[in-house]
Amino acid sequence: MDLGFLKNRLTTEFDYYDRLTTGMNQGSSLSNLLTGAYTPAPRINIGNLRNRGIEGNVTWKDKTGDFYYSINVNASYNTSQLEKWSGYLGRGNTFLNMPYHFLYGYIDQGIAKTWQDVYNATPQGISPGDVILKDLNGDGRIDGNDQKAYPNIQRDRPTTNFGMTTNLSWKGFDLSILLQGSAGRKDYWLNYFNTTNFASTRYASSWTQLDNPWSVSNPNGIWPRLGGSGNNTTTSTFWLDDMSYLRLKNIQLGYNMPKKWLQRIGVENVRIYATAENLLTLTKFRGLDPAATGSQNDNLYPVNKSFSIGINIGL
Amino acid sequence: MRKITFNILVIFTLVGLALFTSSCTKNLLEQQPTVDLASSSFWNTEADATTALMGSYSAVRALFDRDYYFDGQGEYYRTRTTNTSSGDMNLGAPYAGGSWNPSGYGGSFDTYYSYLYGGVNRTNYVIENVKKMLTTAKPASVANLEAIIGEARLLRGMVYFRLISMWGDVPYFTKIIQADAEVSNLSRTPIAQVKDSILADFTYAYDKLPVRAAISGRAAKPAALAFRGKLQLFWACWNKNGWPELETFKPDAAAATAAYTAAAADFNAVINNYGLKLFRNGDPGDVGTMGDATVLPNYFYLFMPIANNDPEMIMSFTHGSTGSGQGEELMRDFGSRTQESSVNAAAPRYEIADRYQSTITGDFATKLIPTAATATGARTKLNSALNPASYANRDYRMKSTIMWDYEMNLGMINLVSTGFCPFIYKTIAANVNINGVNYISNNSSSNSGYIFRKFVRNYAGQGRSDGDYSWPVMRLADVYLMYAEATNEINGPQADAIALLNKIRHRGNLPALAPAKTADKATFFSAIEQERIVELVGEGQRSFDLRRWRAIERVWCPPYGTGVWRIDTWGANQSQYFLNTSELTYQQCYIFRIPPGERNRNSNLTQNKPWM
Repeated sequence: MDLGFLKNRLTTEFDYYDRLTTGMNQGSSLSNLLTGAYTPAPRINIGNLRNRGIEGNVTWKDKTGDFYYSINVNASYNTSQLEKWSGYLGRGNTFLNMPYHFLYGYIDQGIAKTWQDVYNATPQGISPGDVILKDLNGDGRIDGNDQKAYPNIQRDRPTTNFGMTTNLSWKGFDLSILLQGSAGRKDYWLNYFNTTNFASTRYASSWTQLDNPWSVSNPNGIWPRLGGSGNNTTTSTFWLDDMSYLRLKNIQLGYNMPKKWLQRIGVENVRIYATAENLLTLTKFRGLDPAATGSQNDNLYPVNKSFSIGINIGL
Repeated sequence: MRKITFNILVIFTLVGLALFTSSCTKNLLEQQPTVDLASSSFWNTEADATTALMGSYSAVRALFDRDYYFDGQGEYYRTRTTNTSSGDMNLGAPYAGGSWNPSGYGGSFDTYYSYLYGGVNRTNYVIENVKKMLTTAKPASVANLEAIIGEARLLRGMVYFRLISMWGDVPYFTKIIQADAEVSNLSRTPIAQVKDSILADFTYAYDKLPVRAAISGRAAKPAALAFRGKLQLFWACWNKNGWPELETFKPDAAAATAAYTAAAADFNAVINNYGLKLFRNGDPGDVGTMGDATVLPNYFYLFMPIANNDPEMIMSFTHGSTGSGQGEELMRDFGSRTQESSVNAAAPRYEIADRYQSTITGDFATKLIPTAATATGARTKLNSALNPASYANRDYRMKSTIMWDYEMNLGMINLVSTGFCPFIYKTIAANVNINGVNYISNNSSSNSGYIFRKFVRNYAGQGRSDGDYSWPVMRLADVYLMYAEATNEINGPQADAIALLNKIRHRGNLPALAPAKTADKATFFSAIEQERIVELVGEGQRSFDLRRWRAIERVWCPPYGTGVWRIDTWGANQSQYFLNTSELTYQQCYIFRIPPGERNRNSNLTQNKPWM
C-alpha cells in the first residue's frame, strides 16, 4: 500500500505478507541403525513453515529556503512458525508451532561461590567457581531435559530490522546520517575469545581470561573458573545476551565549492567531504558484533570503524 | 470465426489428451536410472556377487582396522591422540569421538555404534541378494555363491560380536531395510539370542568357505572357526565371571564350561587341521645389537607388509598403498615426526617395559629404576631406565615393539630415507653425537620415555597414510593363547597348551616356562595373560580382555582406592587413574552406553543400567 500526503512531502509504503512454504526439502532423519550405511539420508518434503510480517517505509521530504532535508525510516517485522513436520523432531531448537530455530537453553543460577552453594544446588558435578544450572523439571539431575524453550525469541535472526536515513543540505553543505539496527534476537556469548575451558596448547589467552574468572583469590570474578565444569561453556542464561542494537552506520559531511570560484581555475566542480563508518553501536551484547549471525567463532574480528576524508574534482 | 473456434477446441483436446495420458504413467517417479547401474541389472553373475562382497569387506574393515586405539583403555598403551576424519570410512570415521583412556570411555561410542550397524546393513545387503541369486543359479555357480554368502555372514558375525561385547543386548536384524520405519521401533534382542545367531553365521561360513583363500585378504575356514571359538570363549567368560551391568543376563556356570569346551575344540581344529604355522616358523630371528636397527627380530617383521597373507594371519584386512585411497595409517599413528611427519598418536606406557622378561632366566627381570637424566650416572647405573644396558638380554619382542633411549629407527622425509635417528626422551630433533657420529634425534611426542617401533616401517617410499599392511583381526598366536586359556579353565594347565605358550615365547627367544609357572590354574592363567600383554600389545585386545575377565579392579585398584599412576622413565608422575573412583565409573567401563539420541526416537530401546 503506497500513499502520499501533504503534496507528496510525506510518502509511505506498507506491506503485509503471510507466506506458507510447503514441503520444505530436507534430509530425512534416520535411525542410527541406518545412518552408518545410508549417508546422506534421502531427502524428503519434510515440513511447512509460515512466515508473517509487515514492512514499512516512511519518507518526509521538504525544504525551507536554502535548507533541504529528507528523512526516511524503514522497518520490518517478521515471525516464523513451523506448522508441519513429517519426520522425527527431537529435543532441540526446531519444533512444531514454534519459530524456526527458537532460543533453547539452560537457566543459570549464578556462579557457585562456596561449597555450600554447590551442596544447595542440584547435584551436577561442580565445584566452587562453576556455573550452577537450574533443575527446570525438578527430577533431581541436570540433563538436556532441563533446557527452556522461548517461543518468542529467535536465535538466528532478529524479528525486527530498522533503518533511518537523514539527508540535510544547506547552501554548499550537505550531511547524511544512516542509522541502522535490529531487535528481537538473543544469542549466547560463547566463543573462542571468552571460553574459560581453553586448550592448554596452541591457544593465546587474553588478559580478560585471567582477570575475569572466579578463583580463590578472585571470589567475585564475573566469569566462571578456568578449566571448570562443562556447565561453564554450555548454552545457559549466564551467557545469554540481547542482540538488539542501534548502529550509526555512516555519517558524511560534505561541502561543494561555489561554482563562481571554480570557473576561474577552469574546474567544473569540487567537493570536499569527511565520512565515518560504524562510528557508534549501542547494544547490550558483550561480544564483538551483534549483527553477525552464525557461529561466533567465525566472527572473531570486531567491526571496523573507518574514517575517510576526500575530495572530488570534476573537470 | 466458427472455424477458428473449432481449431482451438481441437488443440485443447489434443493437448489435454497428451497431458492426461502421460500423467497416467504408473510409478512415474520409480523409473530405472539411466546413468547409474540399477540394482535390478546387478546381481546376475558371480562377478557381481564378488564385487558386492568387496564392498562389505571395505565397510567392515573400517570397523576393525584401528582397533589399536582400544588399547588405550588398558594399562600399557596410551592413545595420545587419534587421526580420524569424521565421514571418511577409510580414515577412521567409525572411531571418531571415542574416548581411549583407562576409564570414562563407555559413553563415547555412539558413532562407532552407528557405523557398526552400517556394517550390518552392508553385509545383509550382500547376503540377501546373493541368496536370491541362488534360487536361479546354475549348479556350477552354487558353491562359489555360497562361499560369498559365507564370507559376508562371517563379516556380519564379527560386527554383531563386537556389538554384544560392548553393549550386551543389541537390536538384531538380518533383512535389507527399505524404510526407516522398519527399524525405528526395534527393541534390543537378548544377548543369548544374538550370540546364537552369530554362531549360526560363523558355522555357515565354516561350512561353505574354502580351506585356504585364493586371494590375499579373503577369509577361509580357519577364520570362521577361530571367530566361532573366540565368541564362545567370550560367552564362557561372561557366564563364568558374570556381567552384572547387563541386567537381562544371568550367568550360568554350566553354560560357561560348555562354551569353554566348544571354544577349545574350535581353536584346536584351527591349530591342528590346517597346517598353520607361526610367522617364520616362530623363530626369534636375530636381535641385532643394542642401539642399532639394521637387524631386527622376526616379531618386528610380523607387523610389516612382508607378513601380509602369511598363514599366521588367519584373518586380516588388506590395505592399498600410495594413490589407492585405501592406505592404513599405522605409521602415522605409531611413528614420530621423523617418519614422514607422523604423530606418535600411539605410545607405550612406561609400565610395559618391565613386562618383557629376561632371555636368560625366562622370568621377569629386575625392575627398571626410573631415573631423571640429570641424576648422576643416570645412563650408566645398574637397572636405570635410562641406561641402555638395562634392556639387554630381554624378550626379542621388546626391541621389536618399543624404543628406549638411544635406540635407532629410520627417518624419512618426502619418501626418501634420512638415515637412522636415535630416540632420546625429551631430546627432540636435536643434534646428538654417538660414538663420534652426529645424528638428529627423533622428533617424538612421548610422556613415558618410550615410543613404538611396532608397525613403524623401517624403509622409505610410502607416505604416512599410504600403508599397505594387512591389519590382523585374528592371528594364530592369539588362537594359541585363547586355546590355552579355554583348556586351562576346564582342566587346568595342559601339556599341549604349555607347548603352545612356549612356541610363542620362543618367538621372543625366551626359554620354556618354568614348572612353577604352570603349577596350577591360577599361575598358568597369569602366564597366559603375560603372553597376551606382550604378544598382542597395540592390537586392540587388552581392554576387551580386561572386561571379559572383570579385571579392571585387579589391574588398577578397587573402587574408592588411592589410584594408580602412570609414570615415565625419569620417574615423574604423568597420569593418575581410578583415584577415589565410584563403583559407577567401573560399571560404565564394563558396559557401554546405548546412544541416547536413538533412545529419544525409539521408546522400545532400553538403556544399560549404569547409564540410566
